[in-house]
Amino acid sequence: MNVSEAIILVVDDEPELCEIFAAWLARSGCQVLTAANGAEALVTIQSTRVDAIITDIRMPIMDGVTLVRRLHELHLRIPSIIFVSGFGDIDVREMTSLGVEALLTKPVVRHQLLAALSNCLARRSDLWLTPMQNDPEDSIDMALASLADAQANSTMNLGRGGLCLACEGMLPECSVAFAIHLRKEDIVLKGQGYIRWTDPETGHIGLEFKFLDPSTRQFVVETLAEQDPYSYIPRCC
Amino acid sequence: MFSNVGMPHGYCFFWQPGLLWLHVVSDSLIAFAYLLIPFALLRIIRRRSDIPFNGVVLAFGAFILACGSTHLMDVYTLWHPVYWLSGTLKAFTAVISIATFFILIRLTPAILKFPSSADMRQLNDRLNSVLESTSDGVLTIDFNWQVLYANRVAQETNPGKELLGRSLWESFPPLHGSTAEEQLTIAMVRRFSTTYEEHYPPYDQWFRVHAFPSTDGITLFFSNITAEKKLQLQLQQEKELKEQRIEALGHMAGGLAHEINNPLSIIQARASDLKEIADEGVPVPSMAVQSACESILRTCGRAVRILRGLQGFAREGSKDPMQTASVQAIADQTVELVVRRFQTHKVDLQVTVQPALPGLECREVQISQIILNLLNNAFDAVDSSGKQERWVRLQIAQAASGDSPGLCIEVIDSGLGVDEKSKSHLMEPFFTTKPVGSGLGVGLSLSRAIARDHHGTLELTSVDGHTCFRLLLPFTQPQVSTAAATSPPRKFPHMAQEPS
Repeated sequence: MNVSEAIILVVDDEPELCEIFAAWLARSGCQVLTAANGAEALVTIQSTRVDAIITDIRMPIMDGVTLVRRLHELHLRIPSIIFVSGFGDIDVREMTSLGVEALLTKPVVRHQLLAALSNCLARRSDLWLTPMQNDPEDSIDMALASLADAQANSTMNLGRGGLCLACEGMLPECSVAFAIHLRKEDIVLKGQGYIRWTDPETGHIGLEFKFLDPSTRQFVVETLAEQDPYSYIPRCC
Repeated sequence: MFSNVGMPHGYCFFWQPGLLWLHVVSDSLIAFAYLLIPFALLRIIRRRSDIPFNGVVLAFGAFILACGSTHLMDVYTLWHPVYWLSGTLKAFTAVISIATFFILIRLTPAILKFPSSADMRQLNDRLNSVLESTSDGVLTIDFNWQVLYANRVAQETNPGKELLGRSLWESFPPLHGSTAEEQLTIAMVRRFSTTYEEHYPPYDQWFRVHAFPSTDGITLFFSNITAEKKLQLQLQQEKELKEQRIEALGHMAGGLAHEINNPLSIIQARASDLKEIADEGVPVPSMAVQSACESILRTCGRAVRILRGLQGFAREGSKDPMQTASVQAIADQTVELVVRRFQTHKVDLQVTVQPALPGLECREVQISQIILNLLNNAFDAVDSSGKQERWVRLQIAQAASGDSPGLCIEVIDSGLGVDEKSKSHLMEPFFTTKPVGSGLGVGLSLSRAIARDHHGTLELTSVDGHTCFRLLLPFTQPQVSTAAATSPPRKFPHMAQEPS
């Protein structure tokens, strides 16, 4: 979906910021709704079609995290959610597993907001086309029996924007090149991405796709169409 | 050896009956006595196992027994001339006698070293004077908890009542059911030495007690550690205050990042919008510039106010001198710190300060900290109550009652109130009704400590069914010398002092 065709809900307790974001988005041609907090947003979402939410985290009455949790509980699927916050007091694992695609820190620049939004709204097949400019800092090379098997025994799981993988010793926020051989499907998933979170307790990492090989991209797009996961990056367990 | 040689010894006495029987009776009695003496010695040794030198006593016994046997033999040889046998016995006796002599010579230094009763008395006196002169209390207690010994210091813990011969529990009834009973029973029954510290309520004093199992039961050494405890408490409070400040700053930092980031976002967006238009080469309408600049200036002012409010809080203030300050200024400065938070969360903050109040002699920063703490607590109580009614009242007025004029600061909230169970614990350190991680449990107890420092009180009451924290402070601090201020409220005889 193009940004100009979308209906965007902006949630912020700061009226002036709401107004500024709305003006920016309106300039790109999309329809903008605003809400002063999570509770107001929830009312709007239940009565109107919303394609994407851009929300603050710290807000009175209902904060952004609670809003996202409530959406999940109520099985209200919003295609894209973006967090905008002044303070990084948030669990990235929970955030991405609840379907939040991006976390932007205030102050936000207009083109940054629009880029994140158009990425969120884009068809999956239009994503992950260009390799990173610099070589990834690390690499992952592994073989698994099959995707179904990996999903069943929590070694790998696929989300709308990346995957969760049982993989020890990786550093968060590090770029990686990966090659995962699925024996049954007889395919090597190849691409590049960023490690968004690591969980030393369970030995899992959350990897966000940045670039996928054409064959891998096709496989991922088909699988996503079939499984339609809620999470952006799922939790394996 | 048993063969007869020559004539019986009786011939020498010409068988005169008188002489003969004199020898027979005398030798027999000597032999009889010599036979009894070893038994008497053995009896002594058995009864006093602590007496050393058993060896020499046994050797002496053997020597006397041997001597006795030679006398018996003398009686026998009056009629039977078995002089080889009697000679051999004498030779045997000679050997034992010589051996006893040498043993005795060798043991002489050790025997001489053995303390005399005068020595023992002196030693006892010395030990007593040590126990009497120490500043520790010493008590010896037998297995029936009767006091066998109490030194002067121990006796002085219970002035006017004799400790000796009475039960410990009878002399110190509050020890029943206390840590002391538990610990002392361990020492008494399980024969472990233990150390514990306990507060003794009747004297309001702290004691450190070492209990050791002894032959009679247990021995206690105890010292008064009230001064040490007070210092410890003071240090602990200072540490808590510092930690609370750091924690509060951390707590505020999150909110501040949000509070400061929002104005920054607005300023940046306004400026970047203007720049974007200018970059496109289109002339910027002056209306747009004006409204953007107004927004930027207004937002900058907001950020500055937030930061200014922080300055007062960043100082500790506990070492500040007491100075006369304006109550209105303290109130304004504190309210500025929280007013935004109240506004954004739609909690109505109603501040009423009685006009023309006299100056308050205080450590301004600390009073501000108490009010801040109370306002934050009230905010949390209102915000988590889920009620429609959302307000907090800060009321400052001259206190109506009391012998000297005082200031009454009240913080009342529309929250759910404090339940009875929490009420009694509320002022204790580390008690918080907020979820773990979100609250500052030390807040109230420290606020109360600060109030006490200012000769005031902080109490929890209710006004029309709403929670009300009331801080009462005198306008002027009473003139107290530092020495009197630090001495314990109730003096305990001699315990904490040097022995006189």
